[in-house]
Amino acid sequence: MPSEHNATPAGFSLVELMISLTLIMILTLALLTSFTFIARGDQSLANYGEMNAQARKLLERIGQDLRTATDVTNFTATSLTITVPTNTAGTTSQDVIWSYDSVSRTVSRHDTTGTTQYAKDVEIFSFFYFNSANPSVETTSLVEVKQVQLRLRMLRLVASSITSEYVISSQFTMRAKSTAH
Amino acid sequence: MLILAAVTAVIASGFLFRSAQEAKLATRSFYQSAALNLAEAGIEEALYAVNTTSINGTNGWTLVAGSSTDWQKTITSGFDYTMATGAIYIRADNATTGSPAITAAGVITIPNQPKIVKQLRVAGNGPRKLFANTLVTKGNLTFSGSAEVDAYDSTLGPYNSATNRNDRATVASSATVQLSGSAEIYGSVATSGTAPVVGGSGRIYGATSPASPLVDTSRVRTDFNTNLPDATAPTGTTTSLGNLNSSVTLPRVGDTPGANGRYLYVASAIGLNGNSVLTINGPVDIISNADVTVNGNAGIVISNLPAASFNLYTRYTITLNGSGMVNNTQNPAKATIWGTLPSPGTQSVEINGSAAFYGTIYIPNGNISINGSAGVYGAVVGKTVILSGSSAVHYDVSLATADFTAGPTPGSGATGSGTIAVSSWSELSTASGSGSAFARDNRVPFNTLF
Repeated sequence: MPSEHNATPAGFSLVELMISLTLIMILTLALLTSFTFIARGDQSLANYGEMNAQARKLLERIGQDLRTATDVTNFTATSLTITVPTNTAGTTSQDVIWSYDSVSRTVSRHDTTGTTQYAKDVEIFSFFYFNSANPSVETTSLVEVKQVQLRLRMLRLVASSITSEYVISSQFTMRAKSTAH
Repeated sequence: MLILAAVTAVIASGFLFRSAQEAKLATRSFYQSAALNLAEAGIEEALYAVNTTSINGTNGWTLVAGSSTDWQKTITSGFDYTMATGAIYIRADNATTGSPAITAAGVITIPNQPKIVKQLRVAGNGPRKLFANTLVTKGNLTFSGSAEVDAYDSTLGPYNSATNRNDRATVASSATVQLSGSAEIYGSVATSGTAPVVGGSGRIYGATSPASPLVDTSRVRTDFNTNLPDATAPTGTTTSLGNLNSSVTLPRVGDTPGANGRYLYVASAIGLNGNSVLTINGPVDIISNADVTVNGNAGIVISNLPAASFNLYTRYTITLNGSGMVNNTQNPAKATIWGTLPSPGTQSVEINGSAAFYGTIYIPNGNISINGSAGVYGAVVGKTVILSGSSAVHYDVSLATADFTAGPTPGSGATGSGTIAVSSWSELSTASGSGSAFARDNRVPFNTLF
């Protein structure tokens, strides 16, 4: 008479299966969440890195121009025209214009060789001017300008959220600009 | 899921790497500023050495091989930034001439990273110009009556209100500037913090200024500050004139000039009255050890002989009435009155002569009063200055670049040397040998940096 004893059934019970699936879903969700966070963080960091790089290049170049400038010929909150020597003896010079375009939201440098863009997606930009006697009070006198500071805010979009960076420079002293008339 | 985990891990490692790079760049950016500060410190070190003639081996300077005028110095200790160390490399070309070219590099060394180097160059152009401005005072500058200040260019000819007059006159005070009556300044004004006080129909304006308002604010600045060094009388072999109170022509036959070619006299006092005339026919310097007074028809006359030039030194009261001082060369650089009373003393000076005075006045501790109607053609430096009546100062713009090497320059120290006027400041930032005007200097001692 054949035995009616069945072999041990293969596979999982329904309860086991449900527990396993639940665990897998939780782990997958955690992984996906981590993935999303890390990916966004990475993109955000990349944006910060890019903005930092632009800010560094901008500050380095404008600082170099301002330190060597021998005169300021025009200035507003968003534009600055300075006279920059083209040789170390200072016997020849050119006008260099730094300006912010609120439409294209860019900061550019213009000289006799052309225009170079130094920052993009700039939401806020302003120059501040000071004389040599009181670097804590802004001056409105063209002949007095001896120190220049700039402040700007750059924006970048990351997955429908915005990352931004404020840049506040030190007050660049115009070393070569005479305080005599 | 494993694939997802692997991708997440890769992104996470990239995130960490990017973070590390950003931190590294931020650190280098910070040290860029530190390198610039070190380079500027190097420039200061060299300028100090040049100005005080202390550029020698005792102070750590060494001559560049094969040169007798170019010096170098390297400072490698004392700049510990915890994560980095600093060093300064300096080269001063033509250091012992009046026009040195100073190059300095600030170097930051961070372990396992490339060096950060900033290099600057500053050029000097002779001594600091004493008469870069028309009127300069430590104290108040006061204009009243119809006093007038303007400028002209002597290289174009004599002053002419129609054809040789410009608005490049500059009036500067470390205190205040006051105008009253119909006094006017055809030029610019600088004060120390306080705007000029202008009353009556006083006016400050330029060639393009509108008729109203009377004060063109674009020609006013309030951040002026100055340090006027005391003037010193020359030293050397002198010839005594005793009490100079009668007519005499200098130099006299038999007088001997000093090593600089100038005749140096000492007077116990100068008091010219009546028709007494002191005539200057050569390069003459007189030191007066008491008051200087000129009255009546008397005067000091500098002839228009090519060699004639005159420096008057005194620490006492100066009163020029009568003909005053007449400079027939009409070159203000050839007649200078030096007030040698040291600070904080005050000497009194009155210029009331009826003849025009073509000259320069450097009396940093003098209360100067100018009343004469004939005017001063030149420049004035004083402790205070009062212009009254119909007096005028017409600034010769050629004085702005004039070096007063004939007469001793007011010294910055015991050596009597003048401070160097810095004419340019530039940053050398492009690759050495690139042909750019701002290519980095890779000569000694910078040859190990680039």
